[in-house]
Amino acid sequence: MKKYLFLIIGISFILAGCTSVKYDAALNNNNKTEDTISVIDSSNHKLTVKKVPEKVVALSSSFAELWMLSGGKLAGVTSDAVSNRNIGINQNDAEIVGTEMKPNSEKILEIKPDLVILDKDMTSNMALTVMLDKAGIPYYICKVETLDDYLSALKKFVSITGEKNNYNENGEKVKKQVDSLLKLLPNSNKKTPSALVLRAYSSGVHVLSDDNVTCNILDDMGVDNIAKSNKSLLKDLSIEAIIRDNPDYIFVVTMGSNNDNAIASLKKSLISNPAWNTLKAVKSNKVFILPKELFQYKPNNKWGDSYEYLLKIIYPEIYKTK
Amino acid sequence: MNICLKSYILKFIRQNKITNLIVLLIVSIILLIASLFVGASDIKAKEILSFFAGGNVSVSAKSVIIYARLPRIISSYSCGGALALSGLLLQAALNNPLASPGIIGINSGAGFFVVMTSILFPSVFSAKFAAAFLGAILTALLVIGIAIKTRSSKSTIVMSGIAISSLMSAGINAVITIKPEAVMDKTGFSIGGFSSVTMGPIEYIAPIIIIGLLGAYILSSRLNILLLGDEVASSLGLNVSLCRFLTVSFASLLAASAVCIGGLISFVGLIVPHITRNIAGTDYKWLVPITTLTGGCFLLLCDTLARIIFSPYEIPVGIILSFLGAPFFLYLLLSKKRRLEN
Amino acid sequence: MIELQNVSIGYENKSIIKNLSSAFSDGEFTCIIGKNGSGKSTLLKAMDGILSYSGQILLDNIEIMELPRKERAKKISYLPQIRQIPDIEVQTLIAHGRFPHLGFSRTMTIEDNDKVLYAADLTSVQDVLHRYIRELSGGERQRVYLAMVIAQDAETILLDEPTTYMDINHQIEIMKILSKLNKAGKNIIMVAHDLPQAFTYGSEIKIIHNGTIIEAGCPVSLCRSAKLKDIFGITLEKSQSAEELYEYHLTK
Repeated sequence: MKKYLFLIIGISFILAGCTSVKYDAALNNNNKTEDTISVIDSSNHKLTVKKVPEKVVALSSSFAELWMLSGGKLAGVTSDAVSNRNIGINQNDAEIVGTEMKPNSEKILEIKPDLVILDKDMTSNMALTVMLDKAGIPYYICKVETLDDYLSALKKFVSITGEKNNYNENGEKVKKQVDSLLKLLPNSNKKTPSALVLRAYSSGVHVLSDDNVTCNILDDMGVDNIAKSNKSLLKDLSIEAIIRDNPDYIFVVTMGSNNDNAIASLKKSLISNPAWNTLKAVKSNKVFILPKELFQYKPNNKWGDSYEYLLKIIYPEIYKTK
Repeated sequence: MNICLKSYILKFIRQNKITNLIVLLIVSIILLIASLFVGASDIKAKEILSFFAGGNVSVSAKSVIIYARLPRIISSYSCGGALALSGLLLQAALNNPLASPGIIGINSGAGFFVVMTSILFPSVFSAKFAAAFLGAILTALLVIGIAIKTRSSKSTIVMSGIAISSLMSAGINAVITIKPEAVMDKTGFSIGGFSSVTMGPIEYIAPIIIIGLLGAYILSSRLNILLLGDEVASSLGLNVSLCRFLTVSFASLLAASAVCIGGLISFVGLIVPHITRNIAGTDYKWLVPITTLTGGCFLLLCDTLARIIFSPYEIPVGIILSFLGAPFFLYLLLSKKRRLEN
Repeated sequence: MIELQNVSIGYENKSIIKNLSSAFSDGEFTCIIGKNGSGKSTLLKAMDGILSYSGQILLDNIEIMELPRKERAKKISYLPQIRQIPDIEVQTLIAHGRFPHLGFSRTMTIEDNDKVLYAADLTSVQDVLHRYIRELSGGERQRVYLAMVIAQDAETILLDEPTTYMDINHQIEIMKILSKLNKAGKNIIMVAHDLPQAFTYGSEIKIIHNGTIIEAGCPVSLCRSAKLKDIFGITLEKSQSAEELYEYHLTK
């Protein structure tokens, strides 16, 4: 029993130690007197961040790129930003703070960043908000699925970095490009084209209905996503529903770094089913594997290229000369 | 000669419980302190020492110690102890060496509530902790309640646990099918880990764990009697159903606390009690503190290794648990068999 | 004294004990005999207060179910036929017999320890106190369990076939210990399977058949009982020679 008490006392001491020192750290941060700016992020959360922050950590490669496009520099990124993609980050420029799935809180705190950019869709990112709050580090929760989301985020980032030119270069220009592309869309259509959007993993395939880059662009283009009117499709493949709706196009976005694996799995589960051969999209060779840089990751300043890619497929007569 | 020495050591360990306890306490303190000094960031030992001495330390060092390392060390140690003790209590109450917190539906119940909260209150992050705890406790109560209605024999508790567990798992899958956004929360919960713990939830959970510990200690002498079988225990004046009910309740409290902080961490609740029983005998008065400390050290060690082996990349703690624990447990099993044969 | 009045025990559609009434006086060594399935074990469990029943079982004029468990355990103890064998030392098991006497913190006093040693002495297991029960032979283990029940120090000791599966010499040892306890003032009530043994050591015999006590009396008067002949197909005769192991032997 005595030994028990000893342990309890020991733990209570450690706990007590933490709480008393917490105040110190908080005080320290508030003593800074610099130029700051208040911003509201994609999650309606307000943050106050130093203007032109020197050390910024981004926990997703897409948003790391977005930050760089706004003229900012990065002090810490997740490993996929360096190894899986080519967004212009060198191993030497920024510290690796873990993976997108498992960011390392210790490394982030060690950098003592002025701002941390979080991906709203990643639970591992969102789990860090409490810790960052306590450590007095401002964070921006980012969610970008449409061109407008991108432009809004870019604008906010530019307001922090102060590089107004970057908004024109990487924002306005893109908007103009997309607007001019959409202007060429035919007004009266005999029939709205329909599409099925799939996301392929090496372990299987899911149907996408909304809330992602590809589906939003198709929506904007006036293409009917059969999953939207078919909520019963959910995210698992129901071959029957797909056959009944018989989409004109099938688009596939691949996950994971190995394209071949994903395609192999897709082929296996879909095309091996003889019913798929009856689909007009398969018969007329309108099954397209979409490039990751334009559709899996946020296209950012290449958003216009993403629009163009899909427009070329669906309305080749209108867009082929571009 | 070697076998003689080994069996002598094991016998010595078995009979000298006080030494066991003292050794475990010392090991705990060493591990706790050592874990403070290692990690992904390059903070010098000198800085850490001066932090505790009250001296001036860089803000990044302070941040790392206060917000990253300390909460992590404390939570992994407490959860390890709570899980191990929970497993011990369940194995005693149900007289089933395969009993673990998962068996009474705690893990799936907590998971279900976490996933429900993520779609009902997606922006309230702290709701997840309360949800996990609530889910675990409610599921355990449901299982116990059903078992009591059918006159809580050991097998009815296990069977209703399995049934409710399946129900909850199905519930989780149903939610994910309807709202696929929830899958991230489910994965995060199922993998379990301490990478983003903060002191907030720990401060609420610590008293609950301590209550569980004290309850377990008081029940320990009754559990010794329960070991003799329901009939003999009843005959000696023990209220068998009350004892079983209280034991399972305290076990649930402890497991719920661990699950709400660290998510689903299996293995500790199942294996650590077997290890300590093999080494420290069957007197629950000693087993309770010894198992708790062993569980704490074990999970702390595994979590620390998980975060430093491939730093800055972290391995899920469950992998290290299995890699370390399973071979050791197998070794114990085999050496026990050899001892019996000799 | 234990008095049973109209006790019935059954589950689902089966009735095991039917309207049983009987009295067990103080100071007796009662052997309950009967065929398999006649309800002997069930009767003992009910008398120990660990099985529910309808009717009344009065222990010194108090209904046994109304006694707090600890009090009941101090008055009546029970050694079942089948038990779990935990991996503990002999000394620990015997000490468990003191459980109903210990306070909330469940720590042993000097008096408790003395009773443990006395019980170990009486059952001749003092040499194996520090060995593990699982290492002992069947006979030794039985004596250790008996020691636990003795350490419980209750006025009445119920035993369910305590000598089954044992070598004859061990059986005699156990019966001698029970006799000793009886002479020292304990009420012994045991379910017996060996009729000559029961008639030799018992001071009272009760025959249970189909859930009721159909006959009770001292061995001398019961040995020629017609009911005995009906149920078991045998009678018992007093042994003539002093060389015989038991005072009675079986006859056709």
